[in-house]
Amino acid sequence: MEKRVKQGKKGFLICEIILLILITISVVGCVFLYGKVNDYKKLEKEYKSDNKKFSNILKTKGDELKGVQKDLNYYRDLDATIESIKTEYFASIKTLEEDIKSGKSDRKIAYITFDDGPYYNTYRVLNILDENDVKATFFTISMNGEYCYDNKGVRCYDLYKEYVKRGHTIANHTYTHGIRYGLYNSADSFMNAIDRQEEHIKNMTGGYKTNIMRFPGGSSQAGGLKGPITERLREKGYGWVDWTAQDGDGKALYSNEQAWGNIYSSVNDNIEVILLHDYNTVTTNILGDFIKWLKENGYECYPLFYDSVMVSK
Amino acid sequence: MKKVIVILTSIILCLSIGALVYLGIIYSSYLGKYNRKDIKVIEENIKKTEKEIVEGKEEIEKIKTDNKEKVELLEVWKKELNKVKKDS
Repeated sequence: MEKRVKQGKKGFLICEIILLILITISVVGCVFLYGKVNDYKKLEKEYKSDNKKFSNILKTKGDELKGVQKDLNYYRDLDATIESIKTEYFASIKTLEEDIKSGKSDRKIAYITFDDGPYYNTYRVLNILDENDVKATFFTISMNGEYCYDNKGVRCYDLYKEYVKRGHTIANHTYTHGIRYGLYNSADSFMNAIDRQEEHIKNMTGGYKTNIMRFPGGSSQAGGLKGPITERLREKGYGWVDWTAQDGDGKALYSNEQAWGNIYSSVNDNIEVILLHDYNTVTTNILGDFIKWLKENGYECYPLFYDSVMVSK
Repeated sequence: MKKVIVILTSIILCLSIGALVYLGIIYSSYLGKYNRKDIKVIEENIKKTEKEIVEGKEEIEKIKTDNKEKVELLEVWKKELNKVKKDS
């Protein structure tokens, strides 16, 4: 009996020891787990912070990539991009014209136009326009020949590319300008001169398509043919324009004073189409000051375009 | 008998705690790995995006070099458009 009691006590002792060991393991385990969890909590915090940091970097880079892709599309089709900017540009001027006509805006527009070029003197004209940051319209003819009428050592046909390069409008003034040589004999003879010049402009520029013209000598020169010709022009998708102001260089113009007198008496309206000639040195002499005078008087100078209210259809 | 029940219950309790500790360690380790993987994916995306940016910029420069005249004309018209818009 005493032996069994002793054995029982020994058994309990062993169990208590085992239990003590297990409790010790559990306590150590809990302490270990607490440490681990703390470590992972720290790591988790770091990861979250890194995650946020990297996500922000990715977002910034993504935005940058979008910008680059936009630029890339912009540059991939340069012709289309240029055309779309030009369309937006002319649409803005058109809106301005309508506002001026309806009295909503008190701004003023001057369309400076040059007839009968290109000449050697045209280089001077282009430089003056550049110096004054102004775009104009050139009503071109080709009867003057490949080499400049006023300087046979220079190729005038190269000027067609210059017009385009510098952002000016090229318009059709017929191939021959032959008022005295049968241009107004019939609508056919006139349209033939228009077609030839259109083709010439295309060839000289590598595809520039013009859709504005001016009658040599003005639309009144066409007399009774004006109706049939304008009908044919309309069918061809052309608009035509005369002028509302000039410095008088189409006729005899001998001095700067004379030119200024003509300018003062003709530039009055809020929208003006100003007639000048490339070849005239008096015009070139006053051109810089004339543009400054226009700006001082509130005029903004733009190149003509088909949808302009000043272009008849 | 009472002592036996107490000892057995304590043993079961200790084993359960042990098992929970073990699971806890495995779970937190999994969480750590998961987050690390997430960052790696983002890092790879950043590298990929940077590469695309560099390639895109190079292509733009190439287009600009190959089409110098057209790019100049584009600049002319952009400037003109800004002028009209600024004035309005």
